[in-house]
Amino acid sequence: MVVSARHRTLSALTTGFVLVFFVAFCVFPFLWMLDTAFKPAAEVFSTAPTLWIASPTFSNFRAVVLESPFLIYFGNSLIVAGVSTILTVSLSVFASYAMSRWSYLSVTQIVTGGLIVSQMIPGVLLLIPLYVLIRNMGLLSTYAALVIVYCTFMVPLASFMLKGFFDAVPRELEEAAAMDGCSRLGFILRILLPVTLPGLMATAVFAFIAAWNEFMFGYVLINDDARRTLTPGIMLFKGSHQTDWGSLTAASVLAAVPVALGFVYVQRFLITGLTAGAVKG
Amino acid sequence: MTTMDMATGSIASRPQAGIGRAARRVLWPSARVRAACAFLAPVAVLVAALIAVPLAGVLWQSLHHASLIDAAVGGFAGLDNFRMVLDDEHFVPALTHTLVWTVLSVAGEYACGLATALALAQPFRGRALVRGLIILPWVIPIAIAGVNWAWLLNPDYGVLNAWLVRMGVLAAPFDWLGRSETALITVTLVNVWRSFPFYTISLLAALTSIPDDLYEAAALDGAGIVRRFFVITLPHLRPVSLTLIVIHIIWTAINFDFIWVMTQGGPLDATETLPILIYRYAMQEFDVGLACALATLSMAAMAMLFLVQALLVRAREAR
Amino acid sequence: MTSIRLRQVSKTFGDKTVIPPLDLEIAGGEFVVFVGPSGCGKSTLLRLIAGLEEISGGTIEIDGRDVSQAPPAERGLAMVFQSYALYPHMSVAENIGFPLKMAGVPKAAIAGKVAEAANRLNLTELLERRPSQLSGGQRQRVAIGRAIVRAPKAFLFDEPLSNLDAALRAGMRIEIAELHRQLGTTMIYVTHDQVEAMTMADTIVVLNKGRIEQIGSPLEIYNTPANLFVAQFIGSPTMNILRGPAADALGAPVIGIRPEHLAIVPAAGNGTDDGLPGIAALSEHLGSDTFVHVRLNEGATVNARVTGEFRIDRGAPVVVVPERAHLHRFTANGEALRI
Repeated sequence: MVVSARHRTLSALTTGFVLVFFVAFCVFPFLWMLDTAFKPAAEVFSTAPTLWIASPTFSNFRAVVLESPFLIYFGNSLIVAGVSTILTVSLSVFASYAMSRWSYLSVTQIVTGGLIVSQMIPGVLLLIPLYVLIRNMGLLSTYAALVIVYCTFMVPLASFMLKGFFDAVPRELEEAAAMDGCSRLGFILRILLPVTLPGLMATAVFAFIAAWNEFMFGYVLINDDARRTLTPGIMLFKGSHQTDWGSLTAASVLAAVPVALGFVYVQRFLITGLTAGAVKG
Repeated sequence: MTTMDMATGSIASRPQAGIGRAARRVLWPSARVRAACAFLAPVAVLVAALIAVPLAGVLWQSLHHASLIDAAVGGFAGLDNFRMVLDDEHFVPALTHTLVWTVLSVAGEYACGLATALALAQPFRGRALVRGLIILPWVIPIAIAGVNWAWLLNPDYGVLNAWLVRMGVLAAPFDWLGRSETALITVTLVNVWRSFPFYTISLLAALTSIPDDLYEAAALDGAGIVRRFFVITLPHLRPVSLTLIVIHIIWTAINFDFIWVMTQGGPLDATETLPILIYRYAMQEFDVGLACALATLSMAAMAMLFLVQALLVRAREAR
Repeated sequence: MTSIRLRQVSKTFGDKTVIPPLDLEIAGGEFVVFVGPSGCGKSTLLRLIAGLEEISGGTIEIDGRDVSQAPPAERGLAMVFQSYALYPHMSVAENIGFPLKMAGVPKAAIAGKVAEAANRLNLTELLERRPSQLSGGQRQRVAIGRAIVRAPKAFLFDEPLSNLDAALRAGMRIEIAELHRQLGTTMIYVTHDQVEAMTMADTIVVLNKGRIEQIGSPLEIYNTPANLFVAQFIGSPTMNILRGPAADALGAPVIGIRPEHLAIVPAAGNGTDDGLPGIAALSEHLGSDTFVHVRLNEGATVNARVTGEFRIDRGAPVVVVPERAHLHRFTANGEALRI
């Protein structure tokens, strides 16, 4: 860009100010969450809170892990998000292959159109019929209930994202495999998936984060503490009369770790995911 | 040795194809269609069974009496459910809250998103890190974000109140989420915090796709930095912005999680929006008909918004 | 020595005919080049033979067996692609061994054959590398290695050299021709580059709009083009074409003369009647040759190849003299007139 020196200084200053402000805005709640998690109760319940921790402690984490159902919730979330992710990606691989290679077939076009439309239907509006459906199937308070629902809502996103990655694989590669005696399934398993592995992983991480973060269906479809997932679990934590903020922040930190790790991995795919329409706010 | 170069036979004069040949010509494409069907079937079935059918169910139920717990309730209701929803004393406040919440959220998110995207479009060291930090709120589960903001805003031990009092802005700690005057605006602010990074990424992607030589050409033509922003940057962002805003109006208007996690619609229904009302009808009053009628109304509003957007896009393309 | 025979093979995409029914016979051990402008159907024809596209009509026989319905792998052919189509996640050794692995060959046997192919192609040092770590020429050799390792009935090459720079291309041309000499296997080679066609082929098949315009040895095609299309497509610079009175005077509605069969003499004091008077325009000095463009008085512009030392001023009046023995005569609709 062509700018005068004065403008450059001015724009650098503005840029700096905006970024410092927003980084503080974005990071401070997390910082404070982390801070509180390491504070003993006396410091948590202080009317003059400070960022400095006089006597840092792991007692909040210990309480959360040992004396609360947190580990159960965490495990449930891992199972539900993990299974949904595997299922979502496995189904999407085939749908995406068809969308990528046979986009001219009318059956593909119909299904693709259906996926686009379904992507726009918000979950709340389907809350009642889905609740009734799951109840009639006898699946209330089961992992299966959440896995089925999460798969359904993530499959369109995952398919569009994977289609983008598959589109980038040259057709000649598939033809070479055909000449070499590879069946279509063989091509998908031996060539296509290994070649698009980074994209596949990114899609999986996106699906995992979405399932891990989901709140409403977990809240409504699970009524059994033994099957409850983390996000409704944490909210119920808070609701119990006298809130133990130390434990709550400790639980939040632990719950945020998997998504934060996943996020570090997918960051470079954010733009790709965005253009594939695969990222929902 | 290669022989013959008869390449002139037209399709019409081609010798009659044998039965095997004709069958094959049908078989190959249909094998591909069969494979496509098999590949697409699981996804199609899932989406049909869990989105399309329930969607139809919502429309159908909205015209019927039904209860979540009492199987005896039933029968055709006509437009009764719609009438009851519109007559509900909660409806107009909930609609107003939804509008306020949606408009303020989206406006705030766009402003924050644009500011950060423009700043992040400048080259500087550590840009990837700063971008990562700014995106952070959007990655963390809403439940966790909501719970932790409730902690920050806590009237007794919350750090924000303590600081505001210490700075002399407030005389005494204020229960931002617990008072009906401020609850909605506070929840909105937290929503902006959580959602604006999505705008940042989208707008940043659009910004980086503007070719540099456009700016250089404009600079050579004597356009100043402000003028360049309005003549080049903003028009380039318009399509993305339109999509972002329309999508977020919908996502925000029908968002359930955020408000539920932070206030559950309270205090005194001060943050009750339409999705909260749908949930209450269904899960607290167990009135499926009412809930579905309200969901249908919301869906109609959504569809209209999409239509408006489509028309806007078409109008621009026609221009 | 595998022969390939196409009978009434045609290809349509929707209602668009890419290849009208054509017949073609390729004898065992031949090096056949399909050449033609882009969009002429040469690649499609190759892909029909490979089985990568389904034929819309007719039959394809390989060694007398009808393979029209057989999937690509069952046809026993190997193909080298324009983009090489190496598997990016596999090492060179794995790439070369992949077809054998697919065929269920035991591991030890694969290793042996891969080593043999690598040795032949000077790839032994590179066996553990990934395709992304190879140069264009090396990738090309890996692609060829993957093709030869399973001893196919025939090789199909789809513009294999078009992604290489000029120097490498010349080298690879020789390598492929040498490979053909050693293996003696039937090869079909698609290119739009007439130099490749002329230098490598036993037989050239000139294609245009899905039709075969001419089949013949390179010199046959060059010296006796069957029609105006072939005449103008083969040869660089292209053959000069004369129509109207100038052509009539030379005995045909359309006359073609290659640049090397034109001589240029100064206009002044030249009494000969078979010259075509004109004005010298641009001269292109290539060092070994000079191409002189001459605007003839009757309207056409011709290009003459003369010696490298030849100098003539732009705008100088000249007379262009064609060699009578090397005129190509065509009918008004472009078919060659044989006398």
